[in-house]
Amino acid sequence: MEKESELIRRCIEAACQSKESVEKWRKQRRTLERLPSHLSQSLLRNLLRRRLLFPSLLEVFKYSMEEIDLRGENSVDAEWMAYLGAFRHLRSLNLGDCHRINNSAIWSIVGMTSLKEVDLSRCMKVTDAGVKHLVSISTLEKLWISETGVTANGVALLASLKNLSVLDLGGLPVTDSALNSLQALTKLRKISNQGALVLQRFPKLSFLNLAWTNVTRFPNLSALECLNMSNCTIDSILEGNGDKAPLLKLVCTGATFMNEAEAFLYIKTSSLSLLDVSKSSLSRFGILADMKMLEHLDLSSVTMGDDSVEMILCIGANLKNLNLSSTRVSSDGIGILVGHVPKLENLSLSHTAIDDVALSYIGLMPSLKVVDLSSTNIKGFILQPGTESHMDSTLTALQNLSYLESLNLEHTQVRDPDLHPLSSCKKLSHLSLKCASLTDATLHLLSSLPKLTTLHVRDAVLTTNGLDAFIPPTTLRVLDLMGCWLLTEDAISQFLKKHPQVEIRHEIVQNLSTEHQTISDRLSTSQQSLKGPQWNKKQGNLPMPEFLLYNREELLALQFSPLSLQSPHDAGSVTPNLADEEDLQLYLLEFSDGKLKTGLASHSHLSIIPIVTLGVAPSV
Amino acid sequence: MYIRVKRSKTTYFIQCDPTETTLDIKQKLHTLIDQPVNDQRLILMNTGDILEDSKTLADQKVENDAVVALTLRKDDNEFEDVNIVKPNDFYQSRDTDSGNW
Amino acid sequence: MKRKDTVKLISTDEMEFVIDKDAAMVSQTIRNMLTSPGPIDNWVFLGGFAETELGEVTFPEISAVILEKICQYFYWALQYSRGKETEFHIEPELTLELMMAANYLHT
Repeated sequence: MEKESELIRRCIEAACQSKESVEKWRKQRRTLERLPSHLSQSLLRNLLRRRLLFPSLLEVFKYSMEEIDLRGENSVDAEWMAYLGAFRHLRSLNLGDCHRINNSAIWSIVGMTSLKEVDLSRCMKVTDAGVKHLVSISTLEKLWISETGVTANGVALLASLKNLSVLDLGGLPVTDSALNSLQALTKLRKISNQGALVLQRFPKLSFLNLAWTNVTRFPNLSALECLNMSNCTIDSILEGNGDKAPLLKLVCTGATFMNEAEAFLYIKTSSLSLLDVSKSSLSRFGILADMKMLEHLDLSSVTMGDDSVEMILCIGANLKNLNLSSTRVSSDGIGILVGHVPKLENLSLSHTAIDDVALSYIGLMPSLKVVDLSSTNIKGFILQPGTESHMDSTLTALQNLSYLESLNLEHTQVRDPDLHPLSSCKKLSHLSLKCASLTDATLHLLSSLPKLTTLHVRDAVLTTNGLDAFIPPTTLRVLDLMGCWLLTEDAISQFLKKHPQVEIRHEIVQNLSTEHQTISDRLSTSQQSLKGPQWNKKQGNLPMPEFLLYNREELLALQFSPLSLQSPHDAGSVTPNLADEEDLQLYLLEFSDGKLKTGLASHSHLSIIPIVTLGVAPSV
Repeated sequence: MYIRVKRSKTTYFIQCDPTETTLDIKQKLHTLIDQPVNDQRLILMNTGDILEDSKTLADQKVENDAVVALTLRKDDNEFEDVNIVKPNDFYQSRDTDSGNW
Repeated sequence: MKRKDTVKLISTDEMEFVIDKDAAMVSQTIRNMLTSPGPIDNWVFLGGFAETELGEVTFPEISAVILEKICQYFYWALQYSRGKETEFHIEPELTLELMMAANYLHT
């Protein structure tokens, strides 16, 4: 669909302003009859979003609507369906996750003559009786009934839908005989189902989704190109005497392999371009050896260490995406890869034990565009042996990556000065940082990146003055400052005024947009937005955020002054042992717009400390 | 800014500045309709005031998007009455077909 | 303002709107009509007017009320593009017709 013009957008906005504005146009029948389908769809989407759509209003769309998407709308019920049944040009109807849809609701669309696609995924009240209604729609080409109440008997009924080409039966208790009866559907190209031997009677099947089923082995399907066996227990794949299936994509995320060697025995692994075995039980990687065409390899959360990296070497030539996150691979393992992955563009090493040594190896992978190093042991510097004071910035190695567009360093230990080398990564457009030791200096440094469009500087000690002085690159569109607790509402709205093209993400911005919320609501939103591993509420392993080490006066001083923290302990007098005082409360006073606001954080609510603004000043 | 000058079935959108005089507007109209400025009279529709040649638009509270009627001098040297054809009533024509809705 | 720099848009109820060409060019459809060589179906040159290059475009689908609103939008968009941000009010009863016209005119 082409992008809506500015005037159309404004018209739709004006049309969906209020109940009253809807009344002004809903009787313009002659106009409504002529409304192009894509305008009808935009209008309907906006009405839904503004909560202005009710069943009888659907009537206005009955002449123009060709596609309707009501996915997840809880209010959609039999009354809505009664109106939808009159949509004479309706081609596609998506009712996925509409929990009120039941068999009698489907009765309303019996005999519709243009309907080609119906999605009833997860409409749990739909059963075989509903299928009886559906088979009256002889034009149906695509049908999704996964995770409904339909049984094998209902599936067998579908055999009369001669035009069916796509059928999703995911999670249905289908039997062999039910599938047998579907053989009559000669056009069926794609089926998602709990499989069985009978599948081989669909010789043209090219796409098969067996995720979350109990299938453990199934026969040769010589035309199969894409196979999804996620979360299955796999015994053997595509066993048979015929040609090996020319599989291009194999997704086995979360799968359990009974016997790894046998599982892949019948697959022509040399043609595979995508292999996703993340979170699976795979532990021997010899199967990789033949996959010379592999471009995408996902081994995340697989039990694999540096010794297995050797296996990736022989298939590195075409590899573009490699995901090794949450594996046991260390910096040494990355060193092995150097020189063997000339085309590698996307490398994820998050949640691994790699340290700064790995950076020097990564710097030798010339095609890299996207690098994820979050939650690793990277510090950004290496102490020169012998000279305790001399520190070399390790991020310098990334300057060699002339294509680097995206870099994630969240949850690492980098500090302001270590980031300096990044300022010469001229192609960098996405940068994610999340570290309590970063300050205004980082923000200042990054203003020189010419292509930066998305910048995350979370949980950093950014000050009002620092934000004020920050001149974002003209390309910047998103600035995520979540958890930068020192920033005031004033500072952020000032910034937004100066740079309207930038979208700011911060707890305050969320609060601004829901001003009418009560105080308790605010508390809970702040809590939610800060949920994360390091904000774990459990007292036992609570990492003390650095700002807790300042007393109230210092906090106040911080809020309005730029500062660069060398280390939390350099900052002078600290008030440790806060954890010992059970009912400790910290007060942050914020003056904005002349109004007194009091930030409160009690010890028992550590997770909400940064940005809680309350209207009431509690007694100190 | 612009103003909408209307006469009979025609609307002229004229781009202008608040500092321009009525005479300036009439000269712009002259290039469009071949009528000498002396034969033109402009009337601000929401007040009914006749616009004076020497005064600026701002002086006479002629704002952006204002509707100004144009009348021309007839053979008898008098100006014709304001004559602006109203379009078919949009709202009425749309609502009449409400039928059995 | 010269006559050749203007264009006349005519509604289905034969009301006429004379606007600057650069305002009319806000519409991609009209821009194509004005810039493409050769005769266009609903691009009418009338006798004497043709000499002065006063172009006329008739829109048999668009009523005067909507066409006038469209013209107002053209000028609003021009001002907006020059950095002058004012509100463009759309009466709810006009929204459907106006969005259809905007769709046709690629505005």
